[in-house]
Amino acid sequence: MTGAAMAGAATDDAAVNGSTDGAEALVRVDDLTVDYRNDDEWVSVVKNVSFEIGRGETLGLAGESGCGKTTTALAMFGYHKPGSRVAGGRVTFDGRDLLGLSDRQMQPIRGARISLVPQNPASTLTPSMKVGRQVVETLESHGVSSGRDAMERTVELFGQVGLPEPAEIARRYPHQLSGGQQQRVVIAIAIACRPDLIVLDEPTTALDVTTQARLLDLLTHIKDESGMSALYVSHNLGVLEQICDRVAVMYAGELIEIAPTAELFNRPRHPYTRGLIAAVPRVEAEHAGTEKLRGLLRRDDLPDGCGFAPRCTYSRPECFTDSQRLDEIEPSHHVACWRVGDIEAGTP
Amino acid sequence: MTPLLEVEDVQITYRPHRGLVSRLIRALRSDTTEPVPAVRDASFTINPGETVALVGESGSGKTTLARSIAGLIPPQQGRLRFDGTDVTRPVHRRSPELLRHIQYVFQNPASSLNPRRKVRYNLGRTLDVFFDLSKAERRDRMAELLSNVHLDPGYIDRYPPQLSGGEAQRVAIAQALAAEPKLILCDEILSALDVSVQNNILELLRELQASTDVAYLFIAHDLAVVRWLADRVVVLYHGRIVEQGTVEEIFTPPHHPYTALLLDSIPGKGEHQVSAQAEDASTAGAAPDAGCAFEPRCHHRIAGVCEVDDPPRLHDSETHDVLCHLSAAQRAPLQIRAAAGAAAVTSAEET
Repeated sequence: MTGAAMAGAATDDAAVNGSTDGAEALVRVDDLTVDYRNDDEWVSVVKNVSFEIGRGETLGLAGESGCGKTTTALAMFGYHKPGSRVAGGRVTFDGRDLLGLSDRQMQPIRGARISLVPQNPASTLTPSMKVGRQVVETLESHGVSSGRDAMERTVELFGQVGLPEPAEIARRYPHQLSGGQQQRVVIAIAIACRPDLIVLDEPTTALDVTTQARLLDLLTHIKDESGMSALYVSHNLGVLEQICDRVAVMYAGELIEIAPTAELFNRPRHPYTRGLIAAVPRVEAEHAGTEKLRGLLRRDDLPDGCGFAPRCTYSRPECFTDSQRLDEIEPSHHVACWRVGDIEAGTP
Repeated sequence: MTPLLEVEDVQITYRPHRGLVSRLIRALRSDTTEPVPAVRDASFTINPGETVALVGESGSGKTTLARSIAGLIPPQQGRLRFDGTDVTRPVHRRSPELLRHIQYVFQNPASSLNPRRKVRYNLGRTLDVFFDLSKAERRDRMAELLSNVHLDPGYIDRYPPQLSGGEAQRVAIAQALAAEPKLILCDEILSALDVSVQNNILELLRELQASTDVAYLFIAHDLAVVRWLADRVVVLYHGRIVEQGTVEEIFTPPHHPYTALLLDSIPGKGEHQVSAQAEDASTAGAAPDAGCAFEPRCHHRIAGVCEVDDPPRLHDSETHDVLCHLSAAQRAPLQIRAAAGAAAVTSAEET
């Protein structure tokens, strides 16, 4: 009864769920486990997560709040946060293991080779410093350019991110800009040193739909031009559908499905992914009322087996006891659910 | 049927500070500009048990309008009628009965609940203000309210910071329900929540409406959510209602060009038709002095008309009106174009 999806021990060959055509991936995450301290206990918020990001590829990371997607994304910057620890696994960036590096060793990588665009632009920018100066500071601290050159590059960057009158904007303070303009400045800082990887953590959530649409177009444009890789974290599947090459779905700290974007949206296989996609409000009315997600992710109430079992329409007693492993059910489509076949056939 | 709420030609302006120092600074800067109204000529109605969505970008006046309905910002012109009687007066001059009937749920539940008091206190306060209940009645009512929003009775002893965003928003909704209102003003109540949690709240709102016949004014900038919930939609741009109609009318062409832009902005498959370069962020800020407010961003403007004359209010149907110089026939291709591709979005309309 234990289907093939319940393959036992961690098979450590190239089964990292990637589709990078044999070429060496830019980022390789192997069995990453991150714990947070809760009173005297360590609780795993990310469990054995593995994936790759190819060069020039955009990987989306989807899931509800608390599923560990941001924690996973921040692993790209090494882990030295008080109250958390890396309990296992590796994050390899361009051949180097990031988790083994000290803060000092990470310094030249952060901001220069891997950069971050966080959710709230207003809290990212220094309120008392002109925005142009903030970009110059990034360029200077990484020794990319300095003085007048850095200022010229800043104006060029502002033009690139679609800010009107870039030279004028550079002289303004953050509060004199709109939310969308602030986020463009943050993106300018993020791409200033031409990084290999840009990590975007819900960069458009705080913005208007129209502003969001423009920023997504901008990001697509920048990516196409620069060829950089991106990790895009969002709970909004519509956004991921638009911008990503592949999408990985997380639930309760585990990766439960990963597939090329079109494949994932046309044929989602995991019951959670199906529910999540159905939950995205669509303008086309016929989407309403399909498979809904029941309940909420409750960290304090997770079974030993599949984390989604308590909310799953298809769960069987075994689901609560046997943990699931990601299995390649089709080329580059991985799912962690042993009932995939039944679900396809519609057997509850 | 008498509408539950009638908003008639409401105009709201935020006046600059009138203190001596502010006036002096303005004089020194020779700043004589008149403040631009945040809301102009707003007229719409809400029927009992109906959901009217108010959509538009930030700064379009959605919240201002909702606050004036709640009596928090007095309109300079226009009338507000509730249940047929005039209620154009600030909140401190409203009757307790009226206060009870119009409730407000805010965007951020964390800031609308007292974080230092338990859910028990937060809910109980509303009950104490409006009703004279015995201890037992009060306890039962609170349990009932929590079960109405699908929370366990145990939540009564939690503090708001111990709740997730969705749970806190449920408590905020329960707090509004405690007053047994006829109208709830929901101000972007989903924006701070996850997609899956949003869904649960949307279903909860529908369910509560079915059981209590409460009406909602649902403020949102996400049209996809609106499609799910609303009966009618009011689209605001720079303080003007540019389009209003039933959900079907708003989501089927012909659209107002601004509504078409909002629809096009919904994330999902494919490129947006309005590219990052074509739409300059700065134009989103200021409205022109004359003509149509949307004209600088509009891809379908008629040269020599749109930037000069105020747009007329066209009645596409009895329930559907549009503030635009383009006739329904001229607006009809907007949707088709959006589907056809970016190349088609040119000003061919101008002929």
